Parts: sequence; C-alpha cells; structure tokens
Amino acid sequence: MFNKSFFLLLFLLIISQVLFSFYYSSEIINQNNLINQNQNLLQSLKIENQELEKKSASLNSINQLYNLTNQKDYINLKENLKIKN
Amino acid sequence: MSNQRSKTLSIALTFCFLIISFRLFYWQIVKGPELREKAKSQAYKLEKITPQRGQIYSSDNFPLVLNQTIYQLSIYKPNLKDDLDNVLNKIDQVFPDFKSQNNILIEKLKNPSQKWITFNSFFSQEQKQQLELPGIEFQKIEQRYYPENSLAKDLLGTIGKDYNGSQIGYGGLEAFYQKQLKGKTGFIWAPQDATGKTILNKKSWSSDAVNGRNIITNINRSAQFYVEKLLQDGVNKFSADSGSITIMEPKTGAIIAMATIVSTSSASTSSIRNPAISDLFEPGSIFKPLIVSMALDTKSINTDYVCTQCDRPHVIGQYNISNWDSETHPNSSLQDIIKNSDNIGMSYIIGKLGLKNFLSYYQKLGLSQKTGIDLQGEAKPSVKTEWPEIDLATASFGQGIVVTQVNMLQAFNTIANDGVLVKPKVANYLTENDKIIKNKNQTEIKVFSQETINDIKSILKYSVENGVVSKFKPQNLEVCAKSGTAQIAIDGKYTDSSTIASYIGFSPCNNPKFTMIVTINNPKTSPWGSSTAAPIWYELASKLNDLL
Repeated sequence: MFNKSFFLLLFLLIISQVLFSFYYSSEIINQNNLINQNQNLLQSLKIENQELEKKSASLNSINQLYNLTNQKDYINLKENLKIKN
Repeated sequence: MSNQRSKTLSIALTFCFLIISFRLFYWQIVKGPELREKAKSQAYKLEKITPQRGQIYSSDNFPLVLNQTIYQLSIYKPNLKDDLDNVLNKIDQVFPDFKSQNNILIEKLKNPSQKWITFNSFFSQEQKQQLELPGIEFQKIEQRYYPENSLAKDLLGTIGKDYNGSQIGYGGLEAFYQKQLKGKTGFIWAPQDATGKTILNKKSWSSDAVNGRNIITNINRSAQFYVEKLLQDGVNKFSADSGSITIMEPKTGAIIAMATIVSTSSASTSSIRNPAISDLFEPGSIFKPLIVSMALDTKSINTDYVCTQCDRPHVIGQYNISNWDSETHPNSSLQDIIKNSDNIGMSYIIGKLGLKNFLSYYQKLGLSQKTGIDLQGEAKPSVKTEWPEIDLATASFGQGIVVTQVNMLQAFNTIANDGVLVKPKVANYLTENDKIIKNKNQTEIKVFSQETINDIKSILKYSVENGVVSKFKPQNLEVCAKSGTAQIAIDGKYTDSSTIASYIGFSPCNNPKFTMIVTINNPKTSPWGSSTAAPIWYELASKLNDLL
C-alpha cells in the first residue's frame, strides 16, 4: 500500500515538474518572440520614418523649389496668354 | 530462482546506477566549470547595436545630410520556387528598369553554373517587403543621403568605412566632428535560439547604443545655392581653372557659405579636399588695406599721408617696384593709393611701418597659423624667416606671402568687425536628444583701434565708389572692398600669363551683414580681379542683401 502511494506521488511529482517546465519555457519563448516582433516593428518604423524624412527633404530642397519656380512662371505665362485670347 | 534473478537484476541496476552517478559526478563536478563555460560560449553571443550617425542641418534646420537604410538584392537560384524569368519580371514591376539596368548580370545568372548573384540595384524597405520570395535575399546597407544633392559638399565631407567596417568621416564636418557624429556602440550579451534570435534571460547583459549628435551649421542654404550657381557661371564665363568663394558673418565668424568650383576641363580635385582651406595662395592687392590699417594703427602714417616719391618706380637694390600698368601716380593720397592699387605707394608705406610691426600684426591677424575652422584639412600658412628689404616691399602688395582663402577672410574681417579678430566656424551647435550643446565661447582679439577702422573703412568706401569697380555696384548697396590680382610663381618666377584674381569686402560698411571673398584661379578672358572676381562679388552681394 505504502509502495503504491509512494510511486503514485513520485509519478505525479514528475508529471507536474514536466508540465511546469513546459509552461515556463513556452512563456519565455512567447515573451522573447514578442520582444523580437516589437524590435522588428520598431526597426521598420524607424526606417519608414527615415524614408518620410527623406521624401519631405527632397520635396522641399532648394533645387526642387528652384525648378518649381521656373515651372510656375511658365504656367503663369500660359494663363496670361489664355486671358488675352 | 526468482530470488536469484532479482538479486542479479538489483546488482546490475545498482552497478549501472553507480556508473551513471560516477559519470555525472565527473561531468558536473570535475569537468563542470569547464563544460559550463563551453556551453555558455556556444549559446551566448555578443551582438553589436550600431548607433545612428548624427545628421547635419543648415541654419534653417533643413537636413543637408540624412541617414538612409537601403537593401541590396541577391538571387540564390537553388531556393527559387518560381521560374527565374517570372521572378525577374516581378522584380521589374516593383523596381522599374531593374532588368535593363542589370542585363549583363542577368545573363550571367542564366548560366547553369551560376547559382548566386548580387545586383547593383538598391531597394527601399517598401520595395523589399513586396519582394519577400524564396530565393531572394536582401542585404541591409546604411548610408548617407543628401537632399540637396551636391550642395555644400566641400563643407560637409563624405564618409567611408574603417578597417572594422564602421562608418568614418573624410574631409569637412564629417571628419572634424567624427567623434560626436559617430555615437556610442551598444552591446547585447545573451543566449540565442536555433534561428539565431536573442533570448533575454536573467543572465543576459546589455548596454544601449547612443546615437551620434546632430550638427546645426551656420550654412545658409539659399546663399550656398547662389554661391555655387554664380561661381559655376563665373568659372565658365572667364574660362578659369577654378574659383572659390567664402562668406562669413562679421560679428560671430559664422561661415554662411563656402564653395569651390573646378572647371570641367581642369583636373578635378579630390572630393574630400576643400581648396578654400587647404590651398595656399599669394593674396595680391587685397592685402593692401591690411598694410594701410597696420600703418595707421601704429601711427607710422596718418590719413593725410601723401606719397611724394610715387612719380617713379621704387628702386630696391637690383629690383624695380612699379605698378601693374607701368603708370605712376605722383603725389598720391592714401585714398588714391588704395583706389589705384598703387604698388609704389604701398612699398613706401610698409617701409614706414617696419618689419617688426609688420610681423607683429601679421601674427595678431592669424596669418601665420591655421584659423582653427571646424573643417578637416586646413593648411598651415608658411611664414618666411628671412626678410630682405625687397621681400618686405613686395609683401605690401600681397606678393611673396602665402595664406589660405579662409586665413585672408578672417584677417580682412577684423576691419568689418571693428578691429576684432574672430575665429571662423561652420557648426553653430550640436544636439543630443533635443539637448543643445554649444561650443565654448571663443576668445576675441582686438587687433585695430576704432579710429583705424573708421579711417580704413572710409578709404575702402572711397576706392569702391571712385574706382573701376563702381560700375558693378548696385546703387542701394554700400560696400567697403578691394580687388586684387596676384601673379602665380612658376618655377620660382612670376609670369603674366597666369594670375589669381580676387575681390574681398563687406557690406554695408557700418554694421556689416557679411564679409565675402571671391578668388578666380587663372581666368583666361581677363587676368584682373576687378573684371572677373568683382562682378561675381557684386551679383552675390545684391542677393545676400535680400537674404540676410
């Protein structure tokens, strides 16, 4: 009777330990995956931010403004001609 | 029998248990520390976190240098799940002209023995995300992006890689502020899983990366744009080898714009070399106002000085000092000596000043040393140790002495800044996480008295309004300036065929907004500073008058 109870207890203990280790390690893996996901997201947002900053700077660059001014003059001239006609 | 078998089994099990126990004892206790270290070194990895390099901005906080992350594409044929042509068509849809740009490499890849190829096309993150297919690999590349293209390239410098593969600045601000721009590398020491992902645990250790500091410069990008445009036009128009312009704010020494344009027909200079700070030249007649200021400041002469010996060349030993047009100007006043750029008159003035006073002011004006401008590659002017009488006389009209363009500008700026010498500086301040880091306040050196400054300003104003350059001066502009034409010594002899034409000055004369120097190297259409450098100077000055 004692032997049976002892082996049952031992068995339950081993099972609970295995279950606990599974739970604990999967929790670590989940948390690390989450960290990795967030790090990747942060990295891609940083790059997206860089891209936007780049686009904004290119659109407002002095070369672009200089070209636009020339173009604007040209459009104005066309409009003036239309009015006269 | 049963008992016997049970006994044998027990003994065998005990024996096995003992062997395992001994083995475990050996591994865990005897070899334990060594194996633990081995396991750690296999599972733990030190990962570098690269900081973002600091960016560079103009005075209106517009980015001149940004960081960008791009991706280089490679194809590994054995991993492709689709036909190579289909994959290439898909890439071509995302990245227009990919196939036409890489047709040689594509042909190479179609060769059955070629399994892997890396293309010279760079993709954005958005394009990369659209092309995440088996067999397509991307390599991340961090590099600089210049929204204003080549604007202010001499000031900004460039970057390359050091022996560790880390970014390092070459030339200009990139090199001078390398330490501040590069930031601090971070590290993570942690175990990694089978896929190489970091697993953070209690034993993990990390130190954060610190991004590099941003630089807010004094560069006015509109002024810089006009400087480069007008200088390019000038170099072409006058068929010159090259030209340089530097503009400084008189009170603070802030460099508003600086550029060098090299003619396409001349040998181009290195991309990291800035001739305005690294090329030495003989300043010529633009040096004369400084000599007159020295003579006035030491009371060697006064404003009613008249050159009674200016009716003939000045003979010193075997040498004759005469004027550029071989004309003489008898009984020239101080104003007329500057207006006519009279070498004979100047050689008598420096004689009255004397070598000791000349060298003392030469040093006070910073002409015997580097200005300390915050750009890499500044040359140190060389100063003679022996000064025979003829060398002192030629120094009065800026021949036989060598300085950099920025040296000359700094010295001349003392007249604009009421006699006070200030150090030229390109960076205004640095920022780190929105915290402003200002450079130490520089020491200002008083070189000339206010009385001297008032006198020399009125002489310069007279020379501009009554000299040959007055035709270029816009009516609304008050200017104190001087032109110069220096002969270039070739093989120890001066020639008339090649000159450095320059124009230096500030505007308005009182409380000036800027001091500017224009030098044109070897102009072919006319050798004179008054007909090459001066028109560029005035065209820019009228633009700066509206901009500043």
